Amino acid sequence: MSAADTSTVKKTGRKFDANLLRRRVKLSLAHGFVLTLVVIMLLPLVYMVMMSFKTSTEIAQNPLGLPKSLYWGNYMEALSSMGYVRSVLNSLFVTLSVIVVVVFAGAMAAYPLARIKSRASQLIVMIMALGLATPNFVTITPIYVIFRELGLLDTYLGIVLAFAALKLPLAVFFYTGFIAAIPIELEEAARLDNCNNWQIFWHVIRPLLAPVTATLSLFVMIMVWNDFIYPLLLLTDKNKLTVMISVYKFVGNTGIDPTKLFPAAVLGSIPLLLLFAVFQRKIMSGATAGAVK
Amino acid sequence: MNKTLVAAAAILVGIGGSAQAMTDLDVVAWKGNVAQPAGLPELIKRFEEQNPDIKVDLSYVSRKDVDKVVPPRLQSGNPPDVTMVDASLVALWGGAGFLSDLGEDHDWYKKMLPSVKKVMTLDGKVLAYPLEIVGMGNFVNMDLLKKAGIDKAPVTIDELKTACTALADKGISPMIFSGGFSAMLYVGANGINPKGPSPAEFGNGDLKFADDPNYNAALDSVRDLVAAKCFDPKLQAALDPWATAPQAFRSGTVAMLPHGAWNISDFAKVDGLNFEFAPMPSSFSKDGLALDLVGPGWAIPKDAAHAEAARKWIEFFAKPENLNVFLSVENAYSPYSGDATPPPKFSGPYTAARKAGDSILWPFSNEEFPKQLQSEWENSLTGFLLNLDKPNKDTLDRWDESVEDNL
Repeated sequence: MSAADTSTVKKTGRKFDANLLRRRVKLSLAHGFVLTLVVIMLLPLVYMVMMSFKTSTEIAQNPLGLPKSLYWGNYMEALSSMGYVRSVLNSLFVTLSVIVVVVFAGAMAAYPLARIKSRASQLIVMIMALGLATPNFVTITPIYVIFRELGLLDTYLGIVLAFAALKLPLAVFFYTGFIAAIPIELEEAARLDNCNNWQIFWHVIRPLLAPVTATLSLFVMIMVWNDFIYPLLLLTDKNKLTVMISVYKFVGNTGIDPTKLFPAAVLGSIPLLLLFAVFQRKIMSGATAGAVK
Repeated sequence: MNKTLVAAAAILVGIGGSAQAMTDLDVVAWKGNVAQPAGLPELIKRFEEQNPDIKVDLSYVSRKDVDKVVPPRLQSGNPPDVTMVDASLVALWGGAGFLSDLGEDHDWYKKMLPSVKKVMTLDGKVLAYPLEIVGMGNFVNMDLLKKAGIDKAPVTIDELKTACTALADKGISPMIFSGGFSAMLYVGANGINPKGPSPAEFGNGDLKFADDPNYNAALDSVRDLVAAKCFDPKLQAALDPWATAPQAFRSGTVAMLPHGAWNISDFAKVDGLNFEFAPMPSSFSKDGLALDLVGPGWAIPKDAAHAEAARKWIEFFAKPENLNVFLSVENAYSPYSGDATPPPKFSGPYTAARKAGDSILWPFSNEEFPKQLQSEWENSLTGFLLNLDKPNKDTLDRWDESVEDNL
């Protein structure tokens, strides 16, 4: 190798190193920024968990400090007073049932609304959108009166139907936009194969709805899981109460006793976090569906 | 064989009979949960022992959710058998005809304090059985005061200012003065003259807050407290009165907290927190002014399915030995005269002020001030703390406008 070649290699290597270094610095800065954001976002959660392990005196004397030791007494009291396992099972049953009803009914309602181009269908979509904006206090009395007449008070069916009806507008809104973006040629091809409307919906449209269904399910799951007004109104049997009602009854909301609030908050949110962890991949793919072509 | 059949039949009849006779008493209350038991678990046990045919089913619904959850039940004719009410609910639900008349033919009604009687009756009907009068005053950390060389809870404005300056000079945070609550108590204790016009005259618009020298002086007095280093007004404006403020006092780092006696039980649990519950320092009295809040009561909705059992529930509470359990846990005073009720714990100075006649009924708890005015007080006093330079009229006009809007 000549002296000139060696010099070029050296120069290129230096250039390469400089570029690499610049890229690495940029990447590190970006990672550092994202990590800082993650830490900031996780701080309240860490604080919640940390506080849940402190005694009342520790919290009063050093509210921001780390717990001296892991004090499980707060959890023991919360678990024994909240009827935790039963209420978590109730919440799971109600939430999953509502998701199933909302997903099926919402998708089936949205399909014709997305495909039939008429003023009537547009009007129905608008009415559904209005349903999204209707505040709780407007619907609460009619729902109670109707459910009383139908004998649905204090039943699982009642609470599932109430939530499903309340969340259906959201589902229709979600699905209508998504189905409208599905190429009509797919349906035409199915029609050539003698598929009827139901078969097209079931075999062609429904499988394509998986990502948006995951996202919708997440929304519905969070809303139903955290809602306590309707369970409070419609359920009186202690064995049917949802986990948020158990937290609410345990903690109250006139004052705050941290030794009750924080363990109850941790216990109330753990099942939801687990559900999210299980379905995380689908939810994320739903959230980003259509973002990249 | 016959004997066996007869015995089996008797058992079946017995089971059937007892099942039929058992009444589930549906009670809704914003007390009685784990966080604020108010002695109700013990009282329910006692009630069920005395009334073996009644089973009490207590549903906890917080006060602010009662407005959402109970009205649909009242409107649909499926109300709870007994529901907790306060003055505003008595006026609202009683006015709409949803509550039963409990009648005047009870010993407890005859013993009820006249000021409370006014709250619990409407158009000549007794709509609720009142449970308590709760104090609102000034929590004082006596150990911190001692460090500043003071051994008595301040009850006059001058004493308060002196204490604040002494505490601040020692590097101790003198006072919590959250705009959403503590400031209201202070302004109320210095604006409502017990010997002056009735708060109702302001609440119905006959008198104007903006024209009243006492309310103007009360706001001026807040500026004096800031000058005496009692608190930083801008920090206090942002303080949450229900979570952060009591927590700060519990931590033992702040010397004074104007708040309600319902915190006594919680504060008493904190090791080493040596505190007293005193009346609010006031320019109207040398002993301070006790702000009595008319607490909740029991009401029986008109369509209650088990009205008879509900009446037994109220009669049970009317016995002093039962009511005292509730009052003792709540650290509250009895709304009935002549009952031998032990005074609330840690409340020596407050009880003394009441005994001396230095007390007023908090006008937001007896409907003398309209309910909407309360949020106006909270918001406008928070705004006042953020800008103490603005004229008093700006704040007081907002109160008058709120009253006018409510007329």
